[in-house]
Amino acid sequence: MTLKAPDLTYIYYLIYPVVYEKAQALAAGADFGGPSGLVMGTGPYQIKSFSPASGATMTRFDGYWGAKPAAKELDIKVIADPETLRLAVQSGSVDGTFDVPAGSAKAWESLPNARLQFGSSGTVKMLFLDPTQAPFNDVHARLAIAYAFDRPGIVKALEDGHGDSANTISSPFGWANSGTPAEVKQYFASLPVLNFDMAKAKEELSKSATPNGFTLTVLVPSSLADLSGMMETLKQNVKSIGITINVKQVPLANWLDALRAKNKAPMGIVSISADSPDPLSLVQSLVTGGTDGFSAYAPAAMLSLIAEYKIASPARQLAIAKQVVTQLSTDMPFVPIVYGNSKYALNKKYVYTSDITGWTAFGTEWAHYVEAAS
Amino acid sequence: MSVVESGLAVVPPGGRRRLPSLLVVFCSLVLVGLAIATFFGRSLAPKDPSVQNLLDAGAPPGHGHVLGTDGLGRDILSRVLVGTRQALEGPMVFCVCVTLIAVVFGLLAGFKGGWTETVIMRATDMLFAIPALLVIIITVGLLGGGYWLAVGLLVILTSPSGIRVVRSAVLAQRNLPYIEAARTLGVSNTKLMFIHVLPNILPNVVASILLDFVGGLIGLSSLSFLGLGSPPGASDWGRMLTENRPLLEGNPWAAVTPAVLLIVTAFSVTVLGDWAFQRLERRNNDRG
Amino acid sequence: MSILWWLLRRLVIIGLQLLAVSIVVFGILYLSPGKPEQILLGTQPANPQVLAAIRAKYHLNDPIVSQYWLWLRHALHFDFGRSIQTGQTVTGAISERLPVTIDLAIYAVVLVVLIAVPLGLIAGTRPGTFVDRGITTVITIGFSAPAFALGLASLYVFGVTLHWFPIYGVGSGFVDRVRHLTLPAATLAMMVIALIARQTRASAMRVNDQDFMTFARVRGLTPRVIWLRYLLRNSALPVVTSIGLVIANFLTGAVIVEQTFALPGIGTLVLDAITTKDIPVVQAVGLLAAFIVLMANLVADLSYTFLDPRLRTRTSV
Repeated sequence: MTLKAPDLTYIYYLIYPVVYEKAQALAAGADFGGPSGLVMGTGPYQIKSFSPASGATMTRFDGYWGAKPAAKELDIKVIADPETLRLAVQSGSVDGTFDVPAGSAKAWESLPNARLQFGSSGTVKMLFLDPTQAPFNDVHARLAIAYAFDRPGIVKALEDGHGDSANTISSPFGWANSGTPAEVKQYFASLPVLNFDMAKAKEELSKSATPNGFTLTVLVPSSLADLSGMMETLKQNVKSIGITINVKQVPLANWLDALRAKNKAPMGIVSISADSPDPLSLVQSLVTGGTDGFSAYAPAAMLSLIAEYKIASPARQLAIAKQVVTQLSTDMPFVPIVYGNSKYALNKKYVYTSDITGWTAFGTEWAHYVEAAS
Repeated sequence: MSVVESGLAVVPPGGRRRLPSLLVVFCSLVLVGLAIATFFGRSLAPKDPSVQNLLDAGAPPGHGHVLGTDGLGRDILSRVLVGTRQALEGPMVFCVCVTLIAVVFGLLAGFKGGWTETVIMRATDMLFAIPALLVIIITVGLLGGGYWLAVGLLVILTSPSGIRVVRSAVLAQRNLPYIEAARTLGVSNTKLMFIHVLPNILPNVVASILLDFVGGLIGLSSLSFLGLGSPPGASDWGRMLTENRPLLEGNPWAAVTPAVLLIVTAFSVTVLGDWAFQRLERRNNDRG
Repeated sequence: MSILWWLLRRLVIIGLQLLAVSIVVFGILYLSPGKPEQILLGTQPANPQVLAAIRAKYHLNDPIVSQYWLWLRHALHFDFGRSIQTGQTVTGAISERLPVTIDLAIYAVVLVVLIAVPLGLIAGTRPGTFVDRGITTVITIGFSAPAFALGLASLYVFGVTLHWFPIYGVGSGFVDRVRHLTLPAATLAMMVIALIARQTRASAMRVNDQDFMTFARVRGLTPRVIWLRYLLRNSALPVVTSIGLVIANFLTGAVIVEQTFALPGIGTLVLDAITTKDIPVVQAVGLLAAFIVLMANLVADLSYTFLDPRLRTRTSV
């Protein structure tokens, strides 16, 4: 495989492709990856059965070259309703799950037989503001919105207290491999803090082209309650400075459609994660200069910085990352709200011997870390 | 939901005048309470239903919140009071529309007969057995339309059964002597329909309205439960039930209150529907 | 003979109705915003080539008529394509989930027959009594409570608190499945039980009053004969005609009940498919639902004719 242009950040994308047995794949044909074709991979477990309806059963492959995980069999079940899932964990018929919904941690934490673990993820919940049309073509209007979120309150209410206020869309989680922790901490401390300050919001708005406020319609996906909740809080907060937001709930499909539409809405909300532990991973997927992306924000200077980033030395990469993130703070085309958390609930019969992070579920061999509690 | 299908088409024996039972009185009071909440909910609510207090979210009763707060820190009692109007206006519009359509087309079909009847009945047959809610789930789910789209579709899909019932009631009346007598006197069809027949089928109609109301209430709240229909932030009972389910451990009132209100409302209207039907039918029978 | 003719005519009409349903569903799918390939990608950055590849694979760029025609041609061979979300064949997905929903429905029907009809008969034959009022009140509550509220309540009371029943899934083996499906089936049946019990009660009251019943009692026929031969048969008629409504109710109720109890049935399939705009799946399930409803009505109409000899003499049904 050869890339069209050099890209040092591509190394992270190599965790995504799966290495599987060619003969089996060819034999399965169109059914490959489905319930009748299955998949033959290279990991410590083999898939015995799979169906989108009922889940998957995997048994440990004892001929595996590496360390044997503790669990002989993994039985993955599908439970769509989060409350039912919680009840299942409570009753012990389900041992663990990565799918603890935001906003319900209190209920999960009170489960007597399960332990809830949290960890940082690269998930950022943010607003998109379209800088090519009114009212957000004026940076002061954008800044006004930035100060209108009670981030600690949102973390407490909608993220169960496990999450962090976000001052920038590049989550510190992605800076783990860049610079020293002290350096990173110092940099983040230097960024302007987005307090919940309606007075400041009003001040910014008065400096904008629309000092008396404006009216907007924002689409939220009906299935993502936390995003709905955040829009609701914003709607309440900005009423006092003359901004009216009509929150319209639509099915997931419509919401996604609107995010990518050519005629962008002035404001959109999304929960999005970085693909890799790289400070600009998320930024470079958002600032593309293309029309299929979520945002029309694409200043030429930033685009060339991002291009340079892909082939720069680590020291230069750190400098570019700081420059780009600082620019984003000044321009505020994306209003960061909060950083989400990864959660893992596990029956107390077992113990998860590693940290939970945003990469755990899909980027690591998590089954290795599940062991019987002593 | 039609009267016949719901099983009201008969009056139990025991013709002497009886005072309404305790149950009926209770249900009437419930309805009065609901009416008050519908019109004066806003003023009765102790707090603004949309004011959020994120730091106080999901709290059990106390600190000035009689029923506690929901996930965004909004006062449950206020939301439930203000939500009464939201919860009831859809079913209200729905049952009135369905009854109007059923009466008009049922009378026409039953009375005029011939082509009119055939056309109307063919149309009803086609729409009759369509599972209304399923269609609405698919349509509203795909189109992302709102509350009133759902109400409109529900009206279209429920009217057929209403039309059928009115028509059969009219058919039962059509061959009665008094109609024949009126005809020989030269009374016009329209007059016959509205002045003579309509009062006689009134018990069915009234009971139907009330039962349709219940059907509408349950249907529309089911839609809200699935997340379709009313917008977020609206103080809608069905939606509150879904949104507050995760709070059952922290503040059960958040989910239980709207559920109980839904059930009590539906129950009261059903009981009153039955009672109204029986009283009116008895009055009709007494008149002979 | 005329019955057979009538049957044939009905089947042709049903075929046309199914066609109409498929066109309507397809139209709504086409018109609704949201593109399936976008949903597959979710909020990941969208590479135009990837989007184009998905669109080409599912013929999403073709004009609507040819898309529909393509679907129809395959459908007539019972090939309903593959799910855009999972790649599984639609027939595979449906045949996997259909047994769950059917088991649920059958269980619910059994409950309805076992509970609703006797309840209605008991209440109807002693109108105005305490027993009647008690039964009627319980029935009315069942009638007024939305399925999701009842389902959740029973889940918490019987499943979580009392541990009488498991709280999700379908179980394996007959006995286990019965255990798993009891709460969902009861929830599904509730509304219908209430409906049928009310109707049976009304029917029973009316029939009880008729002359032939008084005559039977005077003749000294045992209650059992009275009930079975006269009461049941005569009361059954309105019940049978509402089978169509019952099936319709079940189809919708199944969606909500399956969602609440996490059952991998057709209900959850269609809800997921609607959310993700999985066109082939929504088309197929919509058609299936229409087919079930139409068939149920056909059976109801047929049994109507058989149950009531008075109707057999009519040439048009």
